[in-house]
Amino acid sequence: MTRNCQRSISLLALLLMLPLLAFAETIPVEPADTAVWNSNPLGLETVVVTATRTPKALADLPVVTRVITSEDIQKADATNVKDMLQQELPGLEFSYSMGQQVLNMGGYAGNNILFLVDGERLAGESLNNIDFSRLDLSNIERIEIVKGASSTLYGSSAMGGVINIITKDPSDHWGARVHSRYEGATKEWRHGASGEFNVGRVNSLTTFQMTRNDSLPLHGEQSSLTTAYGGKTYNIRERLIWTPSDVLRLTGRAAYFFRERENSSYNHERYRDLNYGLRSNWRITSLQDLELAYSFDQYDKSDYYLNNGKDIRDYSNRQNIGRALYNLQMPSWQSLLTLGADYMNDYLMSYQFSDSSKSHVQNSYDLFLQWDYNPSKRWDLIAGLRYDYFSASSKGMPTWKLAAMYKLPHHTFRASYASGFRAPSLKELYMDFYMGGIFMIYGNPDLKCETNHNFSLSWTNHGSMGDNLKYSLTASGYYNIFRNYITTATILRNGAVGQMYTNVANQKITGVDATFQLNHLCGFRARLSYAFVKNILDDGQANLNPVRPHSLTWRLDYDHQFTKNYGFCVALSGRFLSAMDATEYYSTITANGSTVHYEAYSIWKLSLSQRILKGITLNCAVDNLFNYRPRNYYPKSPVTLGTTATLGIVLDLDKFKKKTPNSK
Amino acid sequence: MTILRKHISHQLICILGIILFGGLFSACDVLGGVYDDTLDGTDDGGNTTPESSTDADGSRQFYKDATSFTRWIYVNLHTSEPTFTLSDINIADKSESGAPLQWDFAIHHYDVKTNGGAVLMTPYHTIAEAEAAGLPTSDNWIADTYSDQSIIVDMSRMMEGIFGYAPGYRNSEASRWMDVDISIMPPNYTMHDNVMLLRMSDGTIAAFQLTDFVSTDKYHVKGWITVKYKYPVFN
Repeated sequence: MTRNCQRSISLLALLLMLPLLAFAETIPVEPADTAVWNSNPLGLETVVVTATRTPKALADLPVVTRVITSEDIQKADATNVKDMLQQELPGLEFSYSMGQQVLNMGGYAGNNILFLVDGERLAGESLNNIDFSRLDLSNIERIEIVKGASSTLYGSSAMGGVINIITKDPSDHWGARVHSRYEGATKEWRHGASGEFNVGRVNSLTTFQMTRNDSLPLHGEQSSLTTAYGGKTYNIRERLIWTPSDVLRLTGRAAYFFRERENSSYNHERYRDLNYGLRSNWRITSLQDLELAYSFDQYDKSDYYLNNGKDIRDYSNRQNIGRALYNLQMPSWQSLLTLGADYMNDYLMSYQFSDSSKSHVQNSYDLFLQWDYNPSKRWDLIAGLRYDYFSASSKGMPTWKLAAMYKLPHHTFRASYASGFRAPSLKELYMDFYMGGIFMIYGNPDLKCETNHNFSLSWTNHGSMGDNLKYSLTASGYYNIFRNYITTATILRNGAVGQMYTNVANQKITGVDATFQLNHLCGFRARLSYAFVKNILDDGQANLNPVRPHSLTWRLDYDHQFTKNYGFCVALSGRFLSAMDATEYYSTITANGSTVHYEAYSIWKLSLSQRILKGITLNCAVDNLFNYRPRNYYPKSPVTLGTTATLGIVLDLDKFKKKTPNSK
Repeated sequence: MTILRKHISHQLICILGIILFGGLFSACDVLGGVYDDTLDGTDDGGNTTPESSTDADGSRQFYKDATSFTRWIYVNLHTSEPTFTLSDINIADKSESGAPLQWDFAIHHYDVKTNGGAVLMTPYHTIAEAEAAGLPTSDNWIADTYSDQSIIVDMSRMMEGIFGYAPGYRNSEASRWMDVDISIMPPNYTMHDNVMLLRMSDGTIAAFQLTDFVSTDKYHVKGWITVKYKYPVFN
């Protein structure tokens, strides 16, 4: 037995003994979440904003919305947004391509899923995906996921859905938290701290997080990925909320992000982001409110050369966005009218543009209107219309949606139609890049927008089995008609073979989602989700964005507060994804791609979170319990290094100072 | 209520002012000061490296564009000034056009071949150190070897693992100066700046080393090589 192994066992034994200290003082046993059980046992009363851009309870929404709460995040012991989404949403998978994290959600690529933080877009992309490392889970209140086209409210890129990360609301007392965590497989350290305080009518929330992990080799003789590169990240955010009166709230925010990827012995890739914004929410009358917001986001990439210490920037995306949102309640019409407008100035300087024109700018404008009609407690109808204009192509794009909900005491039926689109990015319009010194990739100023038509039907049933057991079941079916998919195609230019962005054949995506949830008063909770996705292709048409047809996620957890000084949550979670064959186009001179087989896999995780004394939380977990590893690592393979253990501690310093109701 | 409305209207005007100010501020590049330079295409990249130069220690240096996969750069050190000759390779029949009669070694991207010579890689990273250590007594001088798949001339299908090769000679020892892992994208480059000793067919010896494998401007284009050399050594 190695010394490290002995140390690990000693440490685990010590961790298991900690509860004995806490049991010294015992009080009557009660579940951890009695208050939640009485008010919102299945989460259906959770108020969300993403589906309609107005606060509305989940149970009253005509559009199915999935919510991941802060409690879910804590119980899942997820280290980042990527892990959290993969654990909770079937049909969603992250893989690595050219060293970047790439998303596939139900047949939609990363640039068809709009990620927002408190409703704000994120600048910058790599391989058409945002930098997911920017999204840490510190002080997250919830994550709202709306699948299906949402362009009528959010414009471009919201074809496949919207994932909105909502930070916590300000509290009326001070708070301070420090946390630290170690993960064994990638030797990743994560440390963080946050602090919150109030001065008069001003609330301040500061969050800091840093991570550091090592490079590790990936096995497999035929792998096209050989190394999981190490690196480090820093993320610091500040949010100030000033409430000068009961009807006005001003929110200012600023954040800085840095990531370094140790991709070679010659240079390291660096990524930086600086963003800030100001938002005002004014309740004009009891029936009207107005939100005005401005945000700025600059995302840069650079290469740091180890031989001469120079840091040379080769990419910069800067977005200035202005937003206005007006809500008018019309009680006599049982309606809520939402009117909004956005302006975005999008500047991109990229090494992938030609030397003669290294930067391009696009202005986009939009106007939208939504009518939410609630004629009775059983019915809710929503209609929306939007028009977007893009200066680069001098083209406009209308979108619209219709959604209806019929609600019975234990059953809810929903039906919707929505259109979506993605405007070609500046990269796709103007690229002029000698890829790896091998072949040219050209942009195409004549590209049309990708569009889709999304039809969906869903049914939700919820109820009780006795006094102590509650359940909910949601099943949805959807059908998407996807047009003008943008990808690269082989061309001959200047006597040489190259690639150019092109609108290619249409395709259809259909699927079924189902989620079953069971909660028991004692603290036991189970959730099982299933997704089926199918790309419908014409004969001979290549599957450009292949997806694993069947996927499952599951979680069983038990949460209990034994004494005022000790409680725990133990959770067993996992995910399964079926096999798929993908056509991958690597060649510049052949029309046919290569078929790569991706095997089915499942990954299980066991985690234990212990709440000790007033403000200590000790987390330990074993991920990938059955040590799954792909035989070879290809661009769409899950990058897992096999079984790994994590150990973390969270200290809520404010709770040491505060008196609890049970304290004497 | 009216007073409150006026008060709030005043505050909103202030907010709009702040937003406007923020917008003007954002027109600037707020992270620009962090970097040593930016590839904005507004200049020539600051490439001031001469094609050849002589150092104080007597060693010389050349800086060449070896980005092409279909070109050999022949080097002749036997002339008073080093002579460089370019020879293009036809992808279709793999034939060369333009190879000189007199040459000592040649470079294709990061491949090296010699004109009947042999190469020994030393553990030293400066020519002065290699000279100070004296002529190695090792028998591990490596001569060129012939192969039907000697050098890669067509990379267009590399992602499928298919490469277009040209036949010919190549010196595996000298070519160790750069290890390019092309099994992944983007390729991984590992440079070895060890001093190489080239024993030519006439018995004279040259020392050379790769000191950089990218362009010395801010664009850092891979395939531009900077080679230090000294000829003759160990007279």
